[in-house]
Parts: sequence; C-alpha cells; structure tokens
Amino acid sequence: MKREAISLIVLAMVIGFGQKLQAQYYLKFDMGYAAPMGEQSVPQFFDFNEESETLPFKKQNKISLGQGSHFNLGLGYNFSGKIGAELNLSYLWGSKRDSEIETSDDYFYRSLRGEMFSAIPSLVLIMPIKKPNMDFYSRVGLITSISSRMIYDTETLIDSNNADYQQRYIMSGSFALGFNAVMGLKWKKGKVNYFVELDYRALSYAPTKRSMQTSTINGSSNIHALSVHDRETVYLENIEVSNPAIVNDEEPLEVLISAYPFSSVGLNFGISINL
Amino acid sequence: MSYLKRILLLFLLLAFQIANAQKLYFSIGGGPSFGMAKEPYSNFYDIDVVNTSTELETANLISFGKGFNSRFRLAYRLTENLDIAIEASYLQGGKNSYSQSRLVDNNNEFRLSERRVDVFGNMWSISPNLVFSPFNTRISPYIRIGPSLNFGRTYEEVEYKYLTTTISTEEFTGPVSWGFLADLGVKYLADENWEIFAEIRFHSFSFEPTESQITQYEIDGVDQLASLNTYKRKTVYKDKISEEQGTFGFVGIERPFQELSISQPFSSVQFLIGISYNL
Repeated sequence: MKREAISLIVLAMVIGFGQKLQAQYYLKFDMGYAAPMGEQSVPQFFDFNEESETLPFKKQNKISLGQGSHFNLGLGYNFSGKIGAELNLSYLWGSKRDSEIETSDDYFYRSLRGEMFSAIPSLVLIMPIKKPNMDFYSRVGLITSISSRMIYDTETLIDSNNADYQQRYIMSGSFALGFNAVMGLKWKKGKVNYFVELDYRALSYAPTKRSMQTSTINGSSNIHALSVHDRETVYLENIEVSNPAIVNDEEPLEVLISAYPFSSVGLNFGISINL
Repeated sequence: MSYLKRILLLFLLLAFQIANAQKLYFSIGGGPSFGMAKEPYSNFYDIDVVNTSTELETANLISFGKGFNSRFRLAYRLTENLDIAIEASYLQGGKNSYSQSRLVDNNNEFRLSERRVDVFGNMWSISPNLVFSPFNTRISPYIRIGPSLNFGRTYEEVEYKYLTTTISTEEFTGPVSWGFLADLGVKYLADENWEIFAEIRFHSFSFEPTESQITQYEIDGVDQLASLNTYKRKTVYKDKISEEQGTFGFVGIERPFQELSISQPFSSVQFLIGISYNL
C-alpha cells in the first residue's frame, strides 16, 4: 500500500513536472517588412541615361538584398520566465532592385532579387512587466542560411538589328552566416500572445554558381543553342587567367567569388501560442 | 483599455521604477574586432604571376570593421532589469591588404610590377542603447541593443613598384553613417561598486565617403605631392553625376574628379572585456 502511494506521488510529480515543462514551450509565427541596411554598390548596377532631356547622367544604385518581406516560424522555450531560447525558421522574399542603361542606340536592363531560407538559434532575455501584463524582451542569435538564391534578370534591346534579348539567371550555392538582434514587446493574453519586434539582421551572401534558366531572342527561346560556358558560371576563390584567354565551351565560365549584402532592419508582428 | 493608455501606463510604470532604483555607472573596456559580412571592395583582388602568359587571381573580401575597439560608456539603471546607456567607442582599424604582381612586357623583356594596397578605417561610434539584464545575481547575462552613429576616416595606402617605386596615401572623408549594434554579455559583481564584464558585439554599418584626397605621393622617396593637380589629387563621390565637357568624371584639371558614390563595409564581431563602477 505504502509502495503504491509512493508510486502515485512520484507519478503525479512526473506528470506535474512534465506539464510545467510543457507549459514553457511556445510556438510563434510572425511576419513583417524589412528596409535595407548597409547598402553597397554592385558592379555594373547603376543607371545611365544618354537620352536624358538635360545632360546625360549616371546614377548609383546601392542595394541590400535583405530588403523585403520576412516570414518567421519559431519554437521557443522559457527556462524561467526571464531567460529563454528560440529556434526560428525564417524566409525572406526579397524586393526587386533594378538598373537601366539607356544609350542612343541600345537599352540594358538588370534586376536582382534575393530569397533566403534560414535557421536562427537565439538566446532570449525577458523583462516581465506586471501591469499591463507584458514582456519586454531582447533576442540575439546567429543566422545560418539553409537555402539561398538570387534571381538575376537581364534585358538587352539592340536597335541596329532590332533584337530583344532576355535572360534569367539563378545564383545559388554556399551558405551565409550572420547575426540577428531583436527587441520586442509581447502582450500576454493567456495561451495566445501577440508581439511586435524590431528585427535587425547583418549578413552577406556569396553564391558559388550561376545558372541560366531562360534565354529568349524576340520572345523565342535560344537556350539550347547556347554552350555550357554561356549558360553556367562558377564562382571560385582562385582562378587562372591566361592571355590569350582559353575558352572551353563544355566548361562553365569561372569568375572570382563575390558577396552581396543582405543586411536589413524591419518591423515584425506576430502571435505566439503556449503549448 | 486603448493601446495609447497601455503605452502611457507602461511609461508611468518605468518612471516609477526609475524613481525607486536610480543608479548611474560608467564602464570602460576594449578588445579585438574582426570583420564579418565581408564584401568585395572596389576592384581589388590578389594577383600572382604563374608564368609569362598566366596569372592567378584570388578573391579578397573584406570588412573595414577589423582592428581594436576601445569603449567608454555612461549608463543609468532605469529598473532593476533595464539600463539605458550612452556609449562612445573608437575603432583603430586593422589593415586589409591586397597584392597584385604582374609581368609587364617592356620591349620584349618581362619585368615584374608589384602593387600592394592596404585599406583601413579609424572610426568613432556613438550609441544610445538599452541593456536587458533580467537577473540580479552575482553573475548575470545581458543583451544590449541600439543604433549607432559612426564618423571617421578611411585610408588607402598604395605602394607600386615598376621601374620606380611610388608610394601614395589617399584619405576618405564623409558624413555620419548610422548602423546597429547588439551585445551578448555576462557581468560579475565583484563588490558593491565594481563589476567586471565580457561581451561579444555584433556591429554593422557602411561608411559612404563623399570626398577623398591624396595626402602622400612619393616617387623613389621624393615628395611629388605638389606635382599633382586638383583633378588627380581630389575625388568627390556623388550618387548622380552628369556629363560635363564631354567626359564623365573629368570636369577640369583644377576641379576634383567626380566618381559614383562607393560604400565601405564596416560589419564586425568584437570581443571585449571591461569594468564598471557605480557612481
């Protein structure tokens, strides 16, 4: 009898402890828009207009591909009500940035857009406020991209042969590592809570390959007529450059690796559900 | 209750807690800073000679944020768990180096040209920030978050050897640029007044110079700065430049050269130790 009573108490403690632990887990979802930060000039990415009504001009187009909509899904754990840990999965749908070069004979258009799926493990420090029932919190974590890509579109109009060339490339490969800092306010409503966050991210991304997806001349595809060298590019730490240049049509073009800014500062709104 | 009332209530609550837990303290500290979120700068990359017809190019991504960082901070304990601070820090920039060696055909005789470029920046940062410190224990973690205002100068030192040796230094100046910083730290309360802390800082901003000027120009050790006209000595950087006198950038030998604006990345991760004293 005594043994059974002890077993019941132990079972009750285990269940109670388990429930208490379970109550400290929460799921969260938020979304928002991020403005660019740490914008950089990218080679060949400027506006030029020779046909301007005043004087021809060149205009710099500094960009950060972190600009755009962010969607975050996270799992959090509160150790004590004042300190916690979160793992967020984040998706960036980047805004398109473009440049135009217009000369008296020709027109060149280029656009770049980034997409990034990343995991962000973070430490959370919480300052509870009793009235109103809120948490003022901050979070610092590392951003590790799981999948990243950049969409690069070009259009070239050549007056002399009345041709319109359009190409789409996907730049991908490798991963980005950066940091994320967040300051937020959470309105605690019981099981479901609402929060608003200032979300700062600093990172750059260096793709390792570029692949042509589509290529048209005056609307007709010509991609099958192009060689591997025309369609594929690999970005390397080191390349050998010969004079005269040696071109192998069956090998991708080799170019030195470059990095693109993905830093941003944004505002996110979301809900969290205590499990 | 409307959101406005809630915000007012929150503000009053904080004000009440300030009145109950007033505390002013200052901190000093320092530590190394390493570049992160590195990016290509200008057209710089390393070049080595393989043979007379082949060169090896190596990518060299950089951040001007590397170097040594020193900090002074005055902070006010708003509540037991939240401080507000104003901080001044100084980055003594470390050099990012490029080296480019090439064989130059000089009347069928190949001679080596060598170009070495060092770029770095010395930068002040002023940051108002909030410090979240939820534990009142002897050892406690904290997070600091805030914007930063950054101002200073960057430098490009070039040594070029081919037939003669040319040494030049170009100094870049520009307006205040803003960024963002976050610290993850831990502090140890040594006694009633003294604290020791260690923190990792992530700091990011870009410096956008509006002007550069060559301040040193020597050929074989002889100062030749006076021989440079304004067009060669000074450059102004603009977001938009119009064509004047037929050629972009050149607007006369007694006027600065015009170039499209550039950005110098300053993202960094910094490690710092320091002490705080309660006033």
